[in-house]
Amino acid sequence: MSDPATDLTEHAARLLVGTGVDAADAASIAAGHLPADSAAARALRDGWTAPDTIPPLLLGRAAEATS
Amino acid sequence: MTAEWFDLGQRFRAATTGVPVARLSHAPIAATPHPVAVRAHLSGSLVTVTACAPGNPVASSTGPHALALLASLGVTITASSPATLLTDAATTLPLLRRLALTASRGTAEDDTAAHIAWWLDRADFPGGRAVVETPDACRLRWVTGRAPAAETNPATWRHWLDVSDDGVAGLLTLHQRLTAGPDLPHLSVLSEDDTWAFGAAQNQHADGWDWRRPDATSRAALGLRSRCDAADLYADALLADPLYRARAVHTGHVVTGTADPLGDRLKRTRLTCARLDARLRPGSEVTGWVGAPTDSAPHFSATVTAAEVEHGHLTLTLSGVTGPAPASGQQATIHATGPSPYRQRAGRKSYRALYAARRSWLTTGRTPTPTRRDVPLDVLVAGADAD
Repeated sequence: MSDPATDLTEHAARLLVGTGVDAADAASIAAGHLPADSAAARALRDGWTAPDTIPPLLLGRAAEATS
Repeated sequence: MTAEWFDLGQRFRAATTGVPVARLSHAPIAATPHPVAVRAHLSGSLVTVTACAPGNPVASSTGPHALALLASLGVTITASSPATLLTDAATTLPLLRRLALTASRGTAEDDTAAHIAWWLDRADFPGGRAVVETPDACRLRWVTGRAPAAETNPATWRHWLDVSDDGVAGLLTLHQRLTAGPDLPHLSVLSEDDTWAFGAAQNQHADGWDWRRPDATSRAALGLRSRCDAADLYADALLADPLYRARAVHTGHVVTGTADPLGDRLKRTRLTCARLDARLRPGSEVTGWVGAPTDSAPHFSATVTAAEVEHGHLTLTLSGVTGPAPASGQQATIHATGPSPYRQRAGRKSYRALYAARRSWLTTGRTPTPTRRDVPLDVLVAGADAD
């Protein structure tokens, strides 16, 4: 398998062409360390935070499958 | 649509935390009583099968012996309930078909071949009762911190889900992970349909029907309709999951906005949407609730009767709102109303009856006689609009 970090960075760079979001900053934007001030950035943030927006009980059920 | 960026945000989170991020809070496939994990490969011109089931050790056989191995694991059309095929390679089923074609009619191997034929027939039905391709099912339930291409590799999932056994027995562990937690709604309905289809396959096999022959028109048409029904039902089941709905906002399948009830006799409410990319159109029947896409609340139903963009915002007019309607200024979420499984079954029953009736226009292949009637002007105008 290829290097996981490299393949994700390359994938991000392809997806973010023309969005104004730099692939190097994308993870920080998603995590909330940098502002999300474009459609792509807000979608990144939504993806990162999605598990935090559902009730803990349901999240526990989702986590149950990976424990 | 911004779903790809949403997924990317989830991938970053998984890469940072080192654990897969859930796409669903429910199990996307049903737990089944009789899973059989199988891998197959070609040895010269013969198919070699490696398989195991709970309580049975991993075994491997080639050619006719491979059919006997599967039979020993309960893969036979004479079984009291169907086995579920677990595999992690798209080549497995085509190779099993090749193996099944070697069985002579009327033999014990033919009973196993007929079960494999049932797998082939039901492989594209969602719900996981007949066939589970584990990488596909895992992609439905989780996101890893890898690029999507890596997730087609079963090894990626074994790594992220902490399954150390890379043999077929590891598929059983993966299946347990996939089926943990509460099921998506409708999985039981889809499982019942699969089980009903197994019963039908048993009867057809007992009656001497040969699965090797191409489907007759009626069987092909019923199969197509059943697949469409199952796909529609599964799409609706996914919308019952809050995590799935969070993503579906980014595909336009789930729409959220601010309500403005008009207070008229048509029970209309205008919804000023947060985004422009809604997939709902005038005529769409919708289900909604007061709150965010990930909230659970009592549902209202309505029909979208108008969609327009005003000052850069999409506004949907919902008519005939029944149920706990949103008050002015409240956030509401809507999505297309799903199908009723009971109506689907009734529809398929009627369809089957039409194909069974000797004089039905479907059976005879004749063009039905047109019946003419006056058409209301509104309908004509609507038809002209649609063109």
